[in-house]
Amino acid sequence: MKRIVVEPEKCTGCRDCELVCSIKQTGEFNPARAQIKAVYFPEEMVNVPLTCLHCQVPLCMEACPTEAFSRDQATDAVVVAQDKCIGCYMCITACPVGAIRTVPDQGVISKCELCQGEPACVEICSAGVLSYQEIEELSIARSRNAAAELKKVIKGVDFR
Amino acid sequence: MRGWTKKYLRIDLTNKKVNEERLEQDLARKYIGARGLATKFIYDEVRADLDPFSPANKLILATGPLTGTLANASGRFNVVTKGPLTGTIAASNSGGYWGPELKFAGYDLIILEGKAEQPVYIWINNNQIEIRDATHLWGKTTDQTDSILRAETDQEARVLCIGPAGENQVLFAAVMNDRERAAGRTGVGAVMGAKNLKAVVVRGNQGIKIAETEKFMETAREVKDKIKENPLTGTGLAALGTACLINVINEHGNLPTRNFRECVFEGADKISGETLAETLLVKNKACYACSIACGRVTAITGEEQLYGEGPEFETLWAFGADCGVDDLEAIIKANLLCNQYGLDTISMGATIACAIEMQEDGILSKEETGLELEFGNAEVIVEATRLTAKQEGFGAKLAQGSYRLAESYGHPEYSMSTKKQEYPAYDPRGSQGMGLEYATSNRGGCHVRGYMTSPEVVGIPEKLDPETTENKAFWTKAFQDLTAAFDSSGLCLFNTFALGSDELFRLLKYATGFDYTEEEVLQAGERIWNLERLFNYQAGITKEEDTLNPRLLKNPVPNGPHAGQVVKLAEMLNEYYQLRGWNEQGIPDEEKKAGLGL
Repeated sequence: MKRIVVEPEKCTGCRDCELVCSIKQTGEFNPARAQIKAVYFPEEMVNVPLTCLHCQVPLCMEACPTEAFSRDQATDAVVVAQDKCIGCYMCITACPVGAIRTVPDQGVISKCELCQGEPACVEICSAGVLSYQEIEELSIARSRNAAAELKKVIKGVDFR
Repeated sequence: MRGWTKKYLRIDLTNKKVNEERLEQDLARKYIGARGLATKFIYDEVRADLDPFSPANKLILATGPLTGTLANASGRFNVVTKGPLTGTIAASNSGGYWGPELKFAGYDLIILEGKAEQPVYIWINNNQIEIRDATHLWGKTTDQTDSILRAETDQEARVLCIGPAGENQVLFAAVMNDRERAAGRTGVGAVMGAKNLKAVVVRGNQGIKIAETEKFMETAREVKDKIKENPLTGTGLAALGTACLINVINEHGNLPTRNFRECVFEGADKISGETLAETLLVKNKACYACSIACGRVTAITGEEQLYGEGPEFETLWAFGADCGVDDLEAIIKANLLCNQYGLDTISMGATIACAIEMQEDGILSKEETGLELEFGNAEVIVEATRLTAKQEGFGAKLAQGSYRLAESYGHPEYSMSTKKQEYPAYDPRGSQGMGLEYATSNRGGCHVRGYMTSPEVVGIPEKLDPETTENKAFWTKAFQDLTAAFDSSGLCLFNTFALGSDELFRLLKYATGFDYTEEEVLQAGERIWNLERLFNYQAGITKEEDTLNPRLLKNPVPNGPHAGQVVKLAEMLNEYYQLRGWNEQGIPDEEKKAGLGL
């Protein structure tokens, strides 16, 4: 099963991910309604893109009183049936990363559903921050980044 | 009309009144947006001959129809006013996140009028607008102001502000946004300071609608691909930032050294993009929707720890080669001070270079300046910057810019400037078109009104012989008009290394829904150029000022690939006026105006 892997240290803060997501979801350029958010810390000039983690035990699903959430068989994404949603926003309270959005004037929520296996945010990302990979690759990607820092210090053995 | 929010704000600071007004469709189409549209408002509403610091001057913060969209590098907005350094129309543009945020808040532009009695800031949270007291912020640096204001309003808000230099009306003070991005040139920050306006804080959560979404997205993706494939935008600027130019321009013999005495700097490699990347670079940083990400985050560790954005090529040159300094850490320090105080790094560095030469030639003395003004002195660039922002000691003279400084001692020829604004980092003696561009730029000495370095040095879109004057009038006009159109769209000029008017007109057409053609967009660029020219004429700036410092016209380059060259301005200027269709006063006559719909 695949997940969106985020490597925030590579993020330049261009926010293209928010733009493509919002226009796909809402037909407008509106980062406030994108399902991915590159949270920016201006003092440190650090960006951390966050989106739905599609948890194995999704708290949104557990909190939902109408069983509006389910798991997509093909992509393993946590998806929502908006016709079952009553707009109580319990899921928003439950989600630890803030991945659920309200839909203005409709009294329902929406969330990342991995674009049916072809996430637009991943496709547009020019800095290589976002990738769509098998779950096992999640930790390997993190290891590679940490190792890249070590590499700068180690520089290899002198074989002369 | 899409792409636009179709609303703008008119804020009267004297009477603390906020008015929401509708943007007229015809006006938006004719002047594209940002630089063009704001210039039209200034032209219609501000007397060209007034004192730039008078409350009757207006300051406009303006986005374009593409600002905040997926069109590459759409983070741009313009700050337009009558400028205090040059007395011309002043349009200074900046990237970052602030411009898009204004559109997400539901406004295309803000017209700021009058003068607040006490320091104030404006807080725009969608359609909730407050004018708040800013007494506690007066004297604060731009980074301090940013942190305090986000804590006071919303951590997600974007802050545009001035630093102490703007408050103290240094004639080349910048308007800063998102801490480290600058509407740097022409002293727009001093006008904001004169209005007692410390900051404009914005937060928005509304969408930007696009007329033809599918075609727009297709074009935006095509543009992103072209940006990636182009060697300068996809590789050079991405890998080394604008600093990639230090070695390139130096090797071509175009890097002004020690106040333009020479054109090759022996210490160039020590302040180059390559050295920066190997030593003090932390990471790359992008403005809104930009795949180039030419911004540099740098850090100095050790006794004094510094962390910030930059320096850019122009800054490395101004504090580096132009002051004869090859100490990268000192340049970074001076750059950070400029960001924190809100100063234009080009005019600051070039004004120090001017003062250094005057002191070395005995026109200034150490007793008078209190400074060790010598070429190559790394400490003095930092100290002089500090004094300038605060108008302390000799800093009060430096704060007037190089022209007024040199003129006050009876030696204006020491100021490397046109229309009182300092030249940037390209010696035009080895780049004739750039000489014409400096002489005719509507905001004084400037490279980003028509970047002739692109064809003459870099070879984009094609390589021109830099030493010939042939056809340079044609090229300069074409670059100036295209640049006016790009600046007005809300896109960054760096796109033009990989794109032209074809991509621009399609993006504008699909975003706005106006049936723009390539010709119409280029004609709009020409219209904007002519309107700026008319404003300057009414401000009393005549064609006699379309000239260059005599050093560039008479003193041949002493060394390097262009040794022996001067700018042959006279060979180009008349041809330029003819191509522009201007009369003997060097302005558009009634017929020309009618042709452009002016």
